[in-house]
Amino acid sequence: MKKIVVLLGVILCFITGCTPEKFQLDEEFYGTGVIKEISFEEFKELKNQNYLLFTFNNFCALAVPCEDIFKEFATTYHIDFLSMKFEEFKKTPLHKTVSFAPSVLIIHQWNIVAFLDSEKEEDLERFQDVEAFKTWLEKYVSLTKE
Amino acid sequence: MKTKTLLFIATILWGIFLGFWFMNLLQSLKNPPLPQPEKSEGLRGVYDIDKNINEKTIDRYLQRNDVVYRDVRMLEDSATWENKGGTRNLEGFVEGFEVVPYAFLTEFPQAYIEQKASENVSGLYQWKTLFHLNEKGDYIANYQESLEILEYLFPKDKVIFLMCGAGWYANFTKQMLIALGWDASKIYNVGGYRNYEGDHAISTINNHGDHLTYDFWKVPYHNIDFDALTEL
Repeated sequence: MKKIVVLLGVILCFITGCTPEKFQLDEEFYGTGVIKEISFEEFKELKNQNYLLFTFNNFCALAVPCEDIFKEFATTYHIDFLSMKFEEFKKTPLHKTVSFAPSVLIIHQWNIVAFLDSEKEEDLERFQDVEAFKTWLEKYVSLTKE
Repeated sequence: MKTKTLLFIATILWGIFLGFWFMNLLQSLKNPPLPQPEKSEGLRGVYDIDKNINEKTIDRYLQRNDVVYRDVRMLEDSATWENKGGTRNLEGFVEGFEVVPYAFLTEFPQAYIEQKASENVSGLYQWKTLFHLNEKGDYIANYQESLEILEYLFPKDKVIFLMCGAGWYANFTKQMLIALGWDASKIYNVGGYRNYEGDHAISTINNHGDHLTYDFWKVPYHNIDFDALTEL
């Protein structure tokens, strides 16, 4: 049943020619390329914002630590991220969709548009390579302020 | 008379057979077959975390008598994890897991030490261990009792479930055991406590508002008294 629903969704997508529409992050996130850590309490204060959220586990031990990739991306493209420790992230409703850290979530008005899944083979490179991450992100988000 | 004796023996044998069958049935109900170890996809696969038995599903596989459960973190880590926003202390564990620190089994790979240093995490445990790595990457015993202790803590006739904070130390431990002759098909890296979502978490944290203390008395912990061992 689930497969049929997904298949119908894909077919519908082809028929209507839909592609994920790019959107702008909130103006404040086209900044200097900082990664600002927030708590669950601060998360609750966010209003209908469009932003990137990096949730992390302190013990990430990849060959290239994933936070280095996102930091490099942030400083290169002057885009700010919000970040949350996974312990804090678990308190948010987003955790129902994103089960494991690390991840980067693209949030558009409270909705998760896309996220890096640490259980998906296709996302592995995006955790380890700035250009691969950029290519993925650009499908959804405009990297320059208009 | 002869027929009666034969019938009696047949009944006894049938009874024994039924007894064994019933015992096996009970055993298989208690320990249903486990899926074979299977690496997750993606980033979690790099850690060799199991696809089927992991932080999300481990509750279904607790309290089995054909499995030993080992958490390979330290009670108090010597490394500066706070520099990455972490903590040095074991904040909790999953019920049934016994703590055997990986750091006491063997030294950390040099590449890992360097990587952590680049992340401003220093002071990883670098004192006495049961084994050390030689230039070829082989594990060499430091004590006469090293292998005996390892076999006691990680019995070869059991399935071994390994857990740590995020899955990396469990991966190190799995690789070490396999290199020392353990059966890879019986070892599962079930991931990291920080990702655990089940109902069997035992917290060691006592929050006093301005500071934390830790109830390590709750932790089934295997200490290794290196001074009592015979150096090679």
